[in-house]
Amino acid sequence: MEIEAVTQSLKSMLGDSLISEKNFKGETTLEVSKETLFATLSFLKKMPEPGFEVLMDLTGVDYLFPTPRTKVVYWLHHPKNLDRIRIVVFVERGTLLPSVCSLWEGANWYERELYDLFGVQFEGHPNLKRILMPDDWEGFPLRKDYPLTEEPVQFKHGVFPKIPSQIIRVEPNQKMEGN
Amino acid sequence: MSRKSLANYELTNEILELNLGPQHPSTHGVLRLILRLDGEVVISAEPVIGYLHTGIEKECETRTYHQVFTLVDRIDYLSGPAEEQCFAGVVEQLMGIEVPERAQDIRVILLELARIASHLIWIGTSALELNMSSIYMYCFAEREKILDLFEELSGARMFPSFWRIGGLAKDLNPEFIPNLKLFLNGFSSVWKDLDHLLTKNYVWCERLQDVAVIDEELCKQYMCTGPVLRGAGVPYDIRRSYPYLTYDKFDFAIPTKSEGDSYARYLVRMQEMVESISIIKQAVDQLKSGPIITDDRKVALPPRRELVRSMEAVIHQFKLVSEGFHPPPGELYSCVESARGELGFYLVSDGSPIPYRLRDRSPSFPHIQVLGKVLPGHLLSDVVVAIASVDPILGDVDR
Repeated sequence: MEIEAVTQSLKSMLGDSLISEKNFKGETTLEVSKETLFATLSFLKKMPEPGFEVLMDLTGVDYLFPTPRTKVVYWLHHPKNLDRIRIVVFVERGTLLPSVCSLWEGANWYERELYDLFGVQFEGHPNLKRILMPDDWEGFPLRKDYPLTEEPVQFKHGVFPKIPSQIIRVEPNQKMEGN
Repeated sequence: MSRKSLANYELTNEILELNLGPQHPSTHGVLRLILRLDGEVVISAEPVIGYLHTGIEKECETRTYHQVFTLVDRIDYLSGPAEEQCFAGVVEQLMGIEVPERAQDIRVILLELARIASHLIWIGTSALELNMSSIYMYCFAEREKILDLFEELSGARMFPSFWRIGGLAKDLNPEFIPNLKLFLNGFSSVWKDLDHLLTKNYVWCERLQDVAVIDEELCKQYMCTGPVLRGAGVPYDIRRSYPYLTYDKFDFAIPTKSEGDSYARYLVRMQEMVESISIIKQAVDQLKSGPIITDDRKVALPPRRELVRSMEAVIHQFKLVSEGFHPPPGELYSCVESARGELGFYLVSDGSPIPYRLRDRSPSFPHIQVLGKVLPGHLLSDVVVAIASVDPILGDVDR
């Protein structure tokens, strides 16, 4: 299968930087380190011919255990073979990731969304500012330690502070692996 | 007409910054475009989104899987069934649940009806923005017949909430198939009317041709899918590439055009409506009788007549309603072809009845981004046509 050949060549190229490889329900997920992320994506963009040319989705998942960090997920699509592969990298709070805007121009808004909702910062991004939340918002809403708040109705005689209406469940189920 | 670019115009270098604001009748939602104009020529366009952001992805992390259906329905508010199918599809794939064949065929019928309804709104509103309001009325009158079908089926017009994990909520009402056949017989004359009014219409052609040309290379860079990609010449349709439900049984073509301009996208969508009618006819012809939801009691509610007889049914009902079911831990991505493009859900489950993370890969998000790249060189009146031609839904973009 094409994907196995690609993962083999990636393993030989990356060596130890390929932290893990998972195969779940027909989808391959490769976890790489921050330093080799850009090289991995550039490699996959060209191999196997003509390459995983489309970055279908760029998103994140937030974890609080064992350390607060965000998992940034790159979901690549191969137009000819119709294969898909997922590249995953874990980012601790406050560390930078290389931006992939030079490989895919469309990743611009996706990285802005990651910054806006998770607080992941990208170096080399032309315009890293908030996209979905208001420009002066503080905090990163999709993090697990950010509560689900309500905007109370602003009455004529006063503005009432935001109430955290529900704290997101943060302790993970013990069956969850690969945090 | 030559391709639109800044080189075609004599520029005066006096820039006017115009805000095509979030409140605007022609931006297909609350989209804000910061246009920098030189006379009428667009020098640069920056789309600003976020005015409809309601935090659906965060709210999904607090509800059980059945409760998430109501939220997820309303992300792409013009084709609710596509969102329901995508979410049900990802959960069913994660849990390995087999949906009975009758339920799959009915789901296909409802999905294609939603696709036709969405394209009708698209044609109606696009024509309305070019001051052709009678076409708006024709399209909405036809869409009312589809909404009446949904209302008789489930009680709700736009968001039938008919999907359940493992099948459908209940079976079709007895008048559904006869009314559907009436609708199918009447649709072809309406389609011919729209075709006759628009396709060779001088004003329509002049305003739509060569506007917002998005070619294949730009589609790859900006992850465009759906009619935008098919208008650029790539025959990529998820119903063919990653078939879901029973689409591999049906015989339908994938319309593509190669120019990549707004007129090409219009022709693609018109032809898609014809193909949807053909799929519905084939599905109705081969609709067999059978169960409507899976037998797995850990996932689907038991039928009510079992509750009076069986204690286990009562316990299953109680557990499912109060706590929900437990999918295996893991992460999965599943996609469907909505009217706008590839709609996908990325679900991260930790084994509890509440999703750990539900990510909606919306088709309109990259399409609005590509507008900012493609608009320079167009005139101000082309901006409205360009926004309309990529068919954005701001609920999908902002979530």
